Amino acid sequence: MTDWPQIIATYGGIAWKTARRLLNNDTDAADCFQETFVAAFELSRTQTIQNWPGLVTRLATRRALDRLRKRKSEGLVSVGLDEATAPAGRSMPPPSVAEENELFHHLREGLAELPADQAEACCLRFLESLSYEQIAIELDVTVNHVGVLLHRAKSSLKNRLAAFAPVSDESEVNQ
Amino acid sequence: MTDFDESDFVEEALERFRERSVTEGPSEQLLSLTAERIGALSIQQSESVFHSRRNFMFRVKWFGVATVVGASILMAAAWIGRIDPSVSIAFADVQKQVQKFRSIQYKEAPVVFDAEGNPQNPRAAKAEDSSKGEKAKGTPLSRHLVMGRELERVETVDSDCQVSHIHISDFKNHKLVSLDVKAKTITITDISNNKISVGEGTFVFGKIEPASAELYKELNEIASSTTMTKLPARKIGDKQVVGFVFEKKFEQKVEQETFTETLKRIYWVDTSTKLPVRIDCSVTNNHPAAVAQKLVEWMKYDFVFDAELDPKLFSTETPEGYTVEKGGGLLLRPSAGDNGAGLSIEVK
Repeated sequence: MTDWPQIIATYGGIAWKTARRLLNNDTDAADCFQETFVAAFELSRTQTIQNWPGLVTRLATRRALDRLRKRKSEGLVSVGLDEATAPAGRSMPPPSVAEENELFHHLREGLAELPADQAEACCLRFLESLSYEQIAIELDVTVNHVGVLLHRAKSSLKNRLAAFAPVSDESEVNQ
Repeated sequence: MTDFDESDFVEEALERFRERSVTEGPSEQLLSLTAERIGALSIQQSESVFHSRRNFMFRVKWFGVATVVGASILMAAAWIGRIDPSVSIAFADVQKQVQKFRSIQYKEAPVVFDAEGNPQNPRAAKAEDSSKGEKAKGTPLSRHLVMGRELERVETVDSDCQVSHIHISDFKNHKLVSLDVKAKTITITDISNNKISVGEGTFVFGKIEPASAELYKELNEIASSTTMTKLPARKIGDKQVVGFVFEKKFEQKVEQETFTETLKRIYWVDTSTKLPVRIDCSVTNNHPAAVAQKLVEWMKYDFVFDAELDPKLFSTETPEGYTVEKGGGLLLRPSAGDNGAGLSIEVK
């Protein structure tokens, strides 16, 4: 018998962080949080869960990306208050903070535009720091395919974030 | 040429995004709300789990546990008397149960049943035999004493509560005697094969009735394959009874028209002993004249099983003081199946 209050308390932090980061909104994150554990509950009825952190991370990422896509398709923009603050341990001048907020906004938009498997692989790899092997297990694909998904995701994001790409020394000299 | 790598830029952006601080969470309220939601889902899914093929094994286990628990509850409920035992009674049980007894006594009286099936002739129940010295007027009734399967004594009690006639049937020896108590006469009838000799005449039956007392004959004519309507349990006196309805239809031709006569018997059976407590009988006919004359209804009641009976009560010998009379006084009812149609008289 699964002790759900215990599971939620133990892995709730993972789900919250994942959802909150991607959605940048407490209300949406709370909804996503609940959806994550409901999905985990449904899965647990039909299979034994071997890796709870991995499952919660994947489900939270998937649900958050789904919400991002929905929000984008509905033309909604959600900017949380904490977005205006600097990253932990870093001190940035106001213009940089605003610029970074803009970058993150486009990053979310870019992730929402990616095919689901690419977006998921990208989030698991770069936001959740999962290894290729772990991602392969969670997405039920081969490690090589994870590499392909990540390559395609980065290429798409590169185009989406082109405006934020740092200017090279050579181009600065030419200017 | 720049060494700037576009992919590194994207990774760097993602890394910065990852390091971005987020609101502390989840809140205690969110944790508790989610736990409650999962709890509610658990209950819902437990209820619907029977419909899931995937959970077949779970279903089997659950069913097993539920069966054991259910059986325990039923046993407990039966033990404390909260389960209606009539649920498990079949009419075949009643037939078997009656066969176990060597003697049966009961009374039979004409009555009128109300819409609820209660007899509306209170005098029928009050009318007792004259041996108790009761002089109150009562509905004529008959007392039946049955011993074995083949000996039957029927005492007819008139409205003065006096035994007026006694009819003794010895089916084994094919002998029937009728005593007129007041006139002190006796009529002896010999029945053998398919003929009944009465005085100088011989009645020829198309079909010989089974050689057994009326109650057994009636019970035995109900085949196990007969579908009988079961009536809900009720109380008769202090006994919990359940009813079994038996119906038999006969067609009658009157001039050019065919009418239907319906014999109906309701066996009210004690749920604890599986023995009849009362048998309500009626004969109806859809012939207009029969309807105008209302129903013919009677009931058998006051059943006593296995009482000690004196064999002398079934003697077909002529009692002292009685004179033998030729003919008349015959207590024979043609079977419902014959309906009198097969009866003819052959004068020797």
